[in-house]
Amino acid sequence: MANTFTPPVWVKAKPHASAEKQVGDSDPSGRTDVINRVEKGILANLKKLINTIMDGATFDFTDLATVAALANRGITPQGVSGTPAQHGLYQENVVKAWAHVTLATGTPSVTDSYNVTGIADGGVGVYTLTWDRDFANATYAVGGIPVETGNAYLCGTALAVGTFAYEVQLNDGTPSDKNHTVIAIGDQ
Amino acid sequence: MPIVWQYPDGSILQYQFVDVFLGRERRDGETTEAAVLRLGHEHVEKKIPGLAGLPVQIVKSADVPHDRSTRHAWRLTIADGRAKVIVDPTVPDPPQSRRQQARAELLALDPKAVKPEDLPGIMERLQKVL
Repeated sequence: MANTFTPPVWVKAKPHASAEKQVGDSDPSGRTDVINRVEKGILANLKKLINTIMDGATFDFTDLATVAALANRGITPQGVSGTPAQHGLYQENVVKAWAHVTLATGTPSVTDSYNVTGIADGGVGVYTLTWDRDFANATYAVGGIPVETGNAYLCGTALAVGTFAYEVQLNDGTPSDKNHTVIAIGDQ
Repeated sequence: MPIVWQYPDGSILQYQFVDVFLGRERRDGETTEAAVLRLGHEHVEKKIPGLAGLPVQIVKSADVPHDRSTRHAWRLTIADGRAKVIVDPTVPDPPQSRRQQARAELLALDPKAVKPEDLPGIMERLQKVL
């Protein structure tokens, strides 16, 4: 005997005085009502969670676009005060930008990155990264290493709020094209 | 797709946008070329001093030399109606290259083949390299 499935025919529920659907109203299985209640529960908990993350600020949760926009906002921690808590996440210790730069062709390329808009090539081993969201000042910290074998290092030549200019140099000081990584932390 | 600025001395600066940024900033109906040129003016020229007002061109990646050992001699030119980066053979090697070359020559010397009368000349070259 072949299996047959007949989908249930659900009709729009008649509004009650309480404007709430009731179990078994027009869906004998009661599944519609259960789904509605679960959705409400999830939304209520989502509101609590997001309000907690957003430090008590209130938002309009009536449309999914608003919720989706909030979900992509990122978590903004508070600034540190006093001795940092063990494993504490603060504004000051969040990585603000990083980049993996490769030189497979004649044009240097940012293969992977965060908060980087592009790279300028000023010559062999001479580069400038541009930041998407600028730093608040030019006293941020930058680290970087070549990711190829050979004795070389990164040497910063100019820190600006919107850019970091640097050279990849061999040990004798000669600029050299090498794949490398850069990471930056500071105030924004 | 690199965007290239030309300095008054003929040397160039090329810039490559991150794909994520370019995709995000591109306007509806705007071509990649138009977006790169617009963002070059609106974004890069504001970030990197000295670029505003310089001649600027969009160059296809295929029209940029792959051999970066000649990077010092790269020049912007218009050929067949489109911008290209070419190697100008008349541009002299930068001082670093001569230094590197001299260093390589010294390192390649066979100590056993060096005659005593060659030593002053070698010392002189060594002083230039160090």
